[in-house]
Amino acid sequence: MSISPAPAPPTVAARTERATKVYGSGDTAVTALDEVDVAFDAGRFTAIMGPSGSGKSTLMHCVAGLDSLTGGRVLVGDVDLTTLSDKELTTLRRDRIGFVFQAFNLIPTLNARENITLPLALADRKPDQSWVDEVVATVGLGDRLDHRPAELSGGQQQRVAVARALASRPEIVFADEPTGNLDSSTSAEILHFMRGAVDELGQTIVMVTHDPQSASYAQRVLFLADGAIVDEMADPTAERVLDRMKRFGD
Amino acid sequence: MWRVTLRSLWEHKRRLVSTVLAIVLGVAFMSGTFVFADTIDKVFADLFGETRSGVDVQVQGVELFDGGFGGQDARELLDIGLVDEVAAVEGVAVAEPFIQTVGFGSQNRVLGPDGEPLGASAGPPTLIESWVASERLNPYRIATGEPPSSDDEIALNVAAAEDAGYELGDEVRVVSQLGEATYRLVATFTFGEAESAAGAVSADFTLAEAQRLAGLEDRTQVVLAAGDGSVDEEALTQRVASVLPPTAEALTGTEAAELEASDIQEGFGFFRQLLSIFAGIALLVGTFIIANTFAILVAQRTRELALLRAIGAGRRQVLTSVLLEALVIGLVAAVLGLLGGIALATAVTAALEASGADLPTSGLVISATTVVTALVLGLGITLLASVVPAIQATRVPPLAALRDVAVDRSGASKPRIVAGVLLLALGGWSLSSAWRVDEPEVATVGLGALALIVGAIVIGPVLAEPSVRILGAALPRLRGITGVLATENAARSPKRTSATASALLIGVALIGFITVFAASARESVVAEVERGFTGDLIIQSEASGFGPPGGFPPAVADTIAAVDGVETTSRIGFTQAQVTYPDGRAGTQFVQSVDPATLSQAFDARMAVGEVTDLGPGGVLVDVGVAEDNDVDVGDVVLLTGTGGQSVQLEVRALSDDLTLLGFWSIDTADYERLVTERQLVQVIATVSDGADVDVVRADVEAALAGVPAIDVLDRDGFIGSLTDQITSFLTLVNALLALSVIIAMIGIANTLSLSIHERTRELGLLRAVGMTRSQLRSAVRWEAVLISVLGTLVGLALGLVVSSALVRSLESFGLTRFRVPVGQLVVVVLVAGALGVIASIRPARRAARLDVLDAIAVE
Repeated sequence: MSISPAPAPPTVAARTERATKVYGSGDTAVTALDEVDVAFDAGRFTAIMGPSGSGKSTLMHCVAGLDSLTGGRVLVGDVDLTTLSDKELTTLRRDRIGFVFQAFNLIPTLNARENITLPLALADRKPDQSWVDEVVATVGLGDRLDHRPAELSGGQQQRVAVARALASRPEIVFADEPTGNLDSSTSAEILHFMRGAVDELGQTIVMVTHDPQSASYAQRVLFLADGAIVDEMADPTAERVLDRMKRFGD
Repeated sequence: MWRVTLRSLWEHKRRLVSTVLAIVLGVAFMSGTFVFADTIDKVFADLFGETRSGVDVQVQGVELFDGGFGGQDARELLDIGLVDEVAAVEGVAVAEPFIQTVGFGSQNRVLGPDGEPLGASAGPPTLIESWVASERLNPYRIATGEPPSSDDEIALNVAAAEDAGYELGDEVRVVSQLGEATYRLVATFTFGEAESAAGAVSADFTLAEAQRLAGLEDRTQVVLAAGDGSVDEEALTQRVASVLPPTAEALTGTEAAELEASDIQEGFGFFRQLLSIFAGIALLVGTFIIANTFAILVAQRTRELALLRAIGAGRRQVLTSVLLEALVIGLVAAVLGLLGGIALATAVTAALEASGADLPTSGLVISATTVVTALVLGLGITLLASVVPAIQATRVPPLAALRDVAVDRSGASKPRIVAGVLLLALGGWSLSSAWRVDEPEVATVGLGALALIVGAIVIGPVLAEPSVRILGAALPRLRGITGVLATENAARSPKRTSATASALLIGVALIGFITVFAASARESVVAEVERGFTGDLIIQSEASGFGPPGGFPPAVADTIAAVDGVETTSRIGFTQAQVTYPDGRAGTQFVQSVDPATLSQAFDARMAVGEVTDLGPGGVLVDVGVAEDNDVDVGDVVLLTGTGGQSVQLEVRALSDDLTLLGFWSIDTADYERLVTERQLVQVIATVSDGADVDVVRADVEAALAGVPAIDVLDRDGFIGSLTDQITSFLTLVNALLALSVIIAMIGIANTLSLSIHERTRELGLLRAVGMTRSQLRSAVRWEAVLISVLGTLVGLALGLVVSSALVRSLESFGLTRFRVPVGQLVVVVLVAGALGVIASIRPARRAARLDVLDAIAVE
């Protein structure tokens, strides 16, 4: 596999400063994020874990420019997302961020190839064909590129989604339970592939998951509870993550 | 089930609004037409009721023949001596003759001090009448002055006198068949309390003068009588009837008012029918939209319906639920439509009054028929449109609740293809009769057109996907991924796209048809005139809408002939007459009078048998088609009866084949003068002498005719322009009426898009998440709308084109010799449709762009 040299990465791909998100107001106010300070290192695979309601999805949505904070700042590279208009946010998502969702990742009317190059097409940018070919080859979709999502299996659909997230060479890829709907062997395949993108292509990935097995593919795990980072773990294994998670029950 | 239905409706009120709107507009147009027509009917009923309020008996001539085209019936005239006989009947207190001539165009008009005729050219008429002395018999009341007592005196209604600025003692010019004459204004009068009779200009004269102006010396049209109170009006009418000659009949005052009102109401009945046709088209288009909306709603609610089924709702209950929803929507649409119709009628009435018609507003007439029609249409159409979707809803298996909602990509079912192809083939074959058969039947062509349009709609879902792809082929290059998404979205559910485009297709096919037909008619007329019109100048009354040709006094021809440089003049008069064929059958016909000697200088008319010059006193020229239809040939004798009862026997001398220049029946001017009581010319055609400049002579003729109101002196180009202007204004009117169905179709496009966008919420959220900007999203929705509307427009125009070419071809014998496709106008139609598509997409596009990304991707 020939590897294109990744641009010299800044040490931090994205970070938050006292990121706060409050839903509602007055007596019914719910604090989803409570002055969170976190940095996502470039070229690293970070997993965010936490029980449901811990704010992990909110954190990801806010860093990814899909949701806005009620306090604090989010920076992707040097850009402060809280100062951007909706249009600037959209462009940022398109050009600098990749997404993999749990389900419904693909546009049903577009075939796999069109789905993969969708962000590039939206930016009216010519895809870097050799890069796209490489991503596609890595994902292993070769002969199914002209198929529509409905003609692909769940695993294939997620692989297309990952390929789309990588195709525009974003600074950071956010994955929200990317294997939540897949069986364990397909999951392993996808996660292995994502880890490969980090190790071999220098990609930055942030993944939200509640599955210790999935988290074990990351290089670093952040634990969230009640809207705050409560712990982190380097080079996790499934057992250690599970142990840590169990303590949330106490 | 009621609760579930009503709640579901309430939750989707916004959607309800646009669904209902599609039907509301059609119902409003229909009920507005009804309310307006009923109101006008009542206005005339009241008017004539008041006119005859003091009259117990009206004696009139028996009907000679039906006026046709809403015109007044032709009746026998009465000898003036009959007035005394009626007066002598026991119980009759007073009896008086009454004469009334209706004026429009350049004849029977009262001129203002500026020489322009009083009253609007297309508004209420001028009435030239004899003054009735008895206050009981006369609806007019003197306001100032004394009634006319000498033949050079005139009385005017207050409004006419005031509009013209006439004072008592002023000289007033009147143009009649005798030419222009001057009268002294001796009185003004009111109609009851009103300053005019529904806006008409009423000019009253002595009996003798009114007789002279109408050409009725020693005769009268009617005798009005009032009783002395000893017997009621029926008894008195019977007594009067017993003394009448067989040519006369007696009516009670009530009957007379009803009869006269109904004559005018018949004319408006045509108007009512015409508007109803367009309202019907609008409703048909609305039906498509409602049916499509229900089909989409049912598809989107598959899960909800399946859940209902899973928890034990029976098929019947599901059916009832959908039909109940239709019932509520239909009811709301019907009521809103009715209210809209009343508002529409109010607006039209107000506009009419603003333009000079003085309607004695006794309020709008909202008849039970109107209300019932609105309710039946609104409810019926909605229920009808919901039946198929409702039955489909019952077929939803309970298990569907557990499945993802699949997008319906189907379109090509075998029965659909077979039916569609059969209908198209049938339509094509019938239409082709225009070329295959010698004398094509217009009815066959019409049926073929219908089969073709229905066939296109039936086969639509089969062809929608490939058509959209072909139409959208260039979009990806123009608009990138936005174009791809727009095309794919328009192609993804062919049934939906096809139904939406079909709604538009109907209106556009008619617009295309009428536009091409009008262009062909215009071109044919121009070609015929250029070929056959050999005169230099044509003098005719100014066009006044779509009414019969306005006439002018015969003396005008002499004025023209006396102008320097005018070489020959040829007079053309016009009247309606009853023609009795050799076999005894009879029918009302348009008859024109000509001067055979000079006609050949005016027209090079196409003849089937004989020459124009064969016509002379005692002869008649018949169109060859009319002759064949009525089994008449050269040498046969026909009887023509004029509107006053005079008749002439004429021998068929030649057969013409030139409807544009010669019309159906032509007779000699000498016979025309024996046939009619009121002579009027409709055209004078002049040639100029060698060496004279046509423009100079035209100006001289114009100057010579300065005193004749509302008359045009035209050269060849001007004449052609006057003919094509009529076609153009007809085209404009019809297209304006068809615009309503196009607007409804656009509401349908907006509706379908809104529903589709609702369905695609998650997809749109995903697009936004991976970087589609709001304006890109709006653009994708916009182009989807444009694709659907252009698809409907192009297919509609193609159908309209095919149908009009067949119809033009089959009407060749009626003078439609040319077929012309007005490419520019059709391009405009396509562009307008595209623009309307953009407008239709505004709301759905905005909704799509406003979607919150997080909410959208979180939707389960």
